[in-house]
Amino acid sequence: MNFIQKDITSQRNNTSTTTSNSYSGGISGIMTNLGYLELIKATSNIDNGIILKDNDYAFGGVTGDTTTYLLHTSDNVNEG
Amino acid sequence: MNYTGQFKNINNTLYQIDIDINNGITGSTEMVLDGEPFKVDYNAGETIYEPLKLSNSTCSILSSSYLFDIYSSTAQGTKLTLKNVDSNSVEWVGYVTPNIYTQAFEQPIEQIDLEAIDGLSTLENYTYNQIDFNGKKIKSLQDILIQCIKQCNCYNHIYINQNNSLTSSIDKTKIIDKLFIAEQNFFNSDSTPATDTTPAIAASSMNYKEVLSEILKYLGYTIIAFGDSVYILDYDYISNSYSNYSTYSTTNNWLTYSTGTTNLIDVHSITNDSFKAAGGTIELDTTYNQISIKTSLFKEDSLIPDFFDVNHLNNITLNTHYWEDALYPEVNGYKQNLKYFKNDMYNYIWYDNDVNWNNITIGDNITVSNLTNNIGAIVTQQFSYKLSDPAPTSKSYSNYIQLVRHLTFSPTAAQNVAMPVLRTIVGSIPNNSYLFDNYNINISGSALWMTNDKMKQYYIDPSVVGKYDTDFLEEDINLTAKIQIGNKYWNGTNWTTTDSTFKILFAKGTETHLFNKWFNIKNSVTRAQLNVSGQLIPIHLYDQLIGDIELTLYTPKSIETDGDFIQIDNVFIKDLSFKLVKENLGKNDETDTEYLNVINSNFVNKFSDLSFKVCSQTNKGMNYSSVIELSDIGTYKYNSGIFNKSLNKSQLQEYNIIEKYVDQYSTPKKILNLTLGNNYYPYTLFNCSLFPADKYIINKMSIDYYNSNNLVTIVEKI
Repeated sequence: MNFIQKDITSQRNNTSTTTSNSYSGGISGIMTNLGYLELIKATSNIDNGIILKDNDYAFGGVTGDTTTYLLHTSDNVNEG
Repeated sequence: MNYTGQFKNINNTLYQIDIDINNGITGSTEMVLDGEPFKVDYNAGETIYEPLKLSNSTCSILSSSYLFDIYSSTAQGTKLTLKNVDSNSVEWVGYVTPNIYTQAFEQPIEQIDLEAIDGLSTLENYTYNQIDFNGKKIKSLQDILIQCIKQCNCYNHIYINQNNSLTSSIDKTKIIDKLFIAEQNFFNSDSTPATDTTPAIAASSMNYKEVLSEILKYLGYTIIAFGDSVYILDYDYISNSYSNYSTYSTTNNWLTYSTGTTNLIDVHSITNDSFKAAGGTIELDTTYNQISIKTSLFKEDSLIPDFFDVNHLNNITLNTHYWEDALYPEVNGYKQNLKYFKNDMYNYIWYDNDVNWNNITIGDNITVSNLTNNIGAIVTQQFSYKLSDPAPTSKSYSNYIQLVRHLTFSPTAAQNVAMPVLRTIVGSIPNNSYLFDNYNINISGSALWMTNDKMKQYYIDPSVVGKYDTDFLEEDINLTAKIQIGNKYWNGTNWTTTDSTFKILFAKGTETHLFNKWFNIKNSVTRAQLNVSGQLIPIHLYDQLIGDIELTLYTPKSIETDGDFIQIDNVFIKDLSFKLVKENLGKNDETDTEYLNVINSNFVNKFSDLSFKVCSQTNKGMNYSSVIELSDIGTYKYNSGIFNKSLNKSQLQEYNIIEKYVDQYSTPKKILNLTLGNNYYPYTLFNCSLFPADKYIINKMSIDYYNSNNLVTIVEKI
């Protein structure tokens, strides 16, 4: 059997000890835990201080500071 | 508190169900069991190679109450065990799920179904904890597997097949004790290191189920809990009639365990007599001709925690207001804004003076006195502006590591020594698996020496103009440091087991004055492929660096200028980094790798991508995800191939996995759903008289203990 190897975009975002605290595809991993409804709630709640800087950011897994999301949306997570 | 009940199956075998509630209440209550009281379903995945085949049970009881005390909010609060009393063996063990499904609420006595999941399933509720108290290490897959099984709190035996082995190893019975991976791979980056009294706290990590799944995916194995044992199977190994297994057994939930080997073989021929119920079906499995494995590397290149990571900085400035508005000295015309921090990833060592060198504690309140009288190191942010200029609209602080020294003019030999002042806390940087290759540590940054010809000061004073600070040698502008990795130290030339320090050298350039000038760390990089500048410390595979990483910075020493040893008051360091670099050999370090089998591109039927977080080394980018192998003579290197007995070849493990999938799924395979007797094991191999050339492995089971039958889904295996 013959095999090939291809370069693909990085699948995880742990590029540094300090600048990233996301895991498993960045924010998408966290959003999975919170559930899609939580995301809708978060985006519709911008007046209360939740800032989604970039839509790609929420769905795509771009490295960044995810603390904002966690602080505002993880108050009542009953994770399955 | 315990609920217990017994029943006999249709063959008169006596079973006992025990429900143990961990609520501190003693006593036992008898349950009345329903007619068919206990069933277990073993679940299958998308393919037969699903790494975890988990099970759940249903226990039916008759009760006038709803036994609400059985339901616990924790995953392992209520243990449920089914025992075969006649053979005194555990048939199934798990935990009641904290849910009650909709039940009838009509009769005085109702049938209630208690749902329970096996111990392996509860692992998703527990996040991975490092095995050692003092930090994340490189651990064998064996240690990590046992750490996972231990969390189930209900299994006493592990049987693991011997399909994989290392070609170079004499012992072919086990591979998991010869393959190693960094525990950091299973963690997020953000964690709190251990102190003397508390273990490290992981901010987040994978749960044990994910960790187990990742390791088994890489090995190509499937785990099934059966009785009080877990079986780690390889279906290709079974179908090739191999039966050698390594065993691990414990009597104290894996505090200690014994190992051994055994044979597990169970072959059944399906005949007319095998059937216990009608309704058997046959189907053909889905086919795929292309399998893709994508690596998901946890990349890392810094050897030290960021000094200015806000998650780890505590402001220890005694009076924030005072410092921020301070004006020192009034005559120089600058306004200084100063903040001092402790980064909890580092230890700070302070001394009272350089005559006695007594250690002192500065605590969490830094004072002017500490900074003007004592010797040590601190993390600081400083901002100054000239009062005669327009006031800035915002404060733009610069980050420095400050080595507070106050070294006198012409010091004695006892005074002019390098003493440790700043040290990484052991465990704050996990063991780095990527040190098992030819890399370089690249040190970069710059430093500024500050004199004191007027008063002891503790900030960068832009007004200071150096006096008596010319005519110095470049090699004298240096700082002492120590890098220890495991039991090896860098001594400036090579890695040695003798406790050693080395000098960080700075480039003088065209500067003629020493003080108040920024000097860059001297460039010793001569290979353009490295694409960095600064000091370079080579690491070779033969250095075999393994263990905790510890960096220590020392007090600066006096420098001879104009023929005398000048006063050194403070040294400020900025942009200090210790990074791992390697020559770019045409690989894009930022990427991951996808492995594919080559097929005729006219017809592609691709299986959904497999994502591997435990991977073979791809030689692109430093990472925690690559598997290391330990040779028989005790040396480490990245694994570059595993011998697969059923494939009878040694190749990259990702290729082994792809080949297993392709062999099984490139042509349609028969699937039989049959109700047979309850006398099979997860590793049972079936023959069928109707298709005499075929072999079948069990993909799925549903066991009804009362009726003593098992609805098995068996899959043709070549």
